[in-house]
Amino acid sequence: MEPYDIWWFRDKVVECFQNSMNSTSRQSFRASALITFLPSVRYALCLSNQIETERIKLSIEFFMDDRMNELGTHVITLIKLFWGHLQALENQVTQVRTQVNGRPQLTLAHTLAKTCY
Amino acid sequence: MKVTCSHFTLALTVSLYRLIHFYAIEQIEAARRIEKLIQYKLNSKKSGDMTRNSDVGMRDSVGSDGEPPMGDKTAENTSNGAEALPGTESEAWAKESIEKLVDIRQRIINTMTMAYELQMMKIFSREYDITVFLRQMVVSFVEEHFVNLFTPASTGEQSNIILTTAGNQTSVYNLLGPKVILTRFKSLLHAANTALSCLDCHISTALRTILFKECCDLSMAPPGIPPAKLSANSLGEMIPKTEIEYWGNLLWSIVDWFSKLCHQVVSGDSLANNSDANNTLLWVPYLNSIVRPNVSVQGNIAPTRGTGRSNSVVASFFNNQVTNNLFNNAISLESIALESFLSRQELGSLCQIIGVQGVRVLDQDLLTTIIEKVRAALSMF
Repeated sequence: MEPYDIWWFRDKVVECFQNSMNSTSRQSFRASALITFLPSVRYALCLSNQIETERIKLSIEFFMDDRMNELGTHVITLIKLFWGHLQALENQVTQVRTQVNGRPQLTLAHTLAKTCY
Repeated sequence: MKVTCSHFTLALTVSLYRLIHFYAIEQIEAARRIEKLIQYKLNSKKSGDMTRNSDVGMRDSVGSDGEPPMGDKTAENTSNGAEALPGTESEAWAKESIEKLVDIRQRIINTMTMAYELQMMKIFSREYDITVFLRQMVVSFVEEHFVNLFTPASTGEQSNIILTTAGNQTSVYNLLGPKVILTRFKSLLHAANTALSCLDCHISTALRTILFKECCDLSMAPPGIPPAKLSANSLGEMIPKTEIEYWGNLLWSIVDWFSKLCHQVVSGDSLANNSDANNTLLWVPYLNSIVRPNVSVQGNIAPTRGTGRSNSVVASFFNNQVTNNLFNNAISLESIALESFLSRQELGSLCQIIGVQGVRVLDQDLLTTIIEKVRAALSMF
């Protein structure tokens, strides 16, 4: 079995890729490296058959586009989550900072921010 | 020989017994500790759920009596069944939030590291550079959200500042001050920088591009160049008009919003108080802001708190406005006046966002308005 044979197990590749994105440990991210074998598919193609070559080439490109979009969306989702949590904690700290002599002082910005979360 | 052997057996038995006893005590202690921890976790989770259900994202970290949150005492009290100390919910919520934050941060770093390790791939004639792709995604996300921070959200995902206050006076609930916007923007930059730092990239470069694109009016001369030289050598002549119209769009929207806000406050159309008696505006140097004195229903100015000697309008402000708005926990949004957005802090935050060029545009716009007003006033004589 050659590395380019991975193309015939696309479902497994997608599954590994998605699992590695959703996991929290660093080791499991190595599974996503499976997509690096995709370029080697060109060695398995019969160049004399133009129709087959074009078809596989297109499907690989579509496949890679999907994976890239998936990765981009995943990163943006994580950043959004991080932003939300950071902002919520920041708001709480802001409120703690505004207390003077043991009495909480609500600022305008703080009060308005309260309504948005 | 027999005695020695029995002594040895006895000593071995005693030491074994001691070891087992010690081990058993250790186990019991550990079990107790685990039980306490589980109890504390359960209580924390319960209080965390309570606060989460109260649909307020920002929790009070201090109670009504202003006592600071305590760590171990809280756990003791809750496990004993006593009433929880003020701030317990907030503490549990913050702990949970911080744990989630750390987890998400680790996931971001993992994903970005993976992308960085994959580097570039060439599939037939197409090249996939994952690092560049992700960098572009993050930068465009920041850019998009920077603009969205100032405009009303169409999807209802986030409520933001309103750039047209004149027509939408009823929607005061969506009006956020520049200070809040700046805080949110800082958090956004921090989140984006966490992701970009794994790709050997810093957000400052992207930020400079975004601010130059959104908050720089190319039709104006750069700082330090007098306006007379503007027509002779300006960037505006080198760039097509369509692009000039696009560049600095957000800046002009912000300036327009601020200008309208000033007009509205000066003309006395505050959302808080529409009665004529409350429409007098004052500049208070102590507060560095414009304030609206709180006049009683009978038209008399309330006496000063404490000494009761001064009957000035400023004194009444300190007596009522400050007491009601700053020291009262149950502050209502209806009591917020539009002039509160014109404080020095809010203006400082706005200036930080719009930059030097933005301040110049804002300054020019306000000066034009003042000149018009003065001319109108002079024409009466």
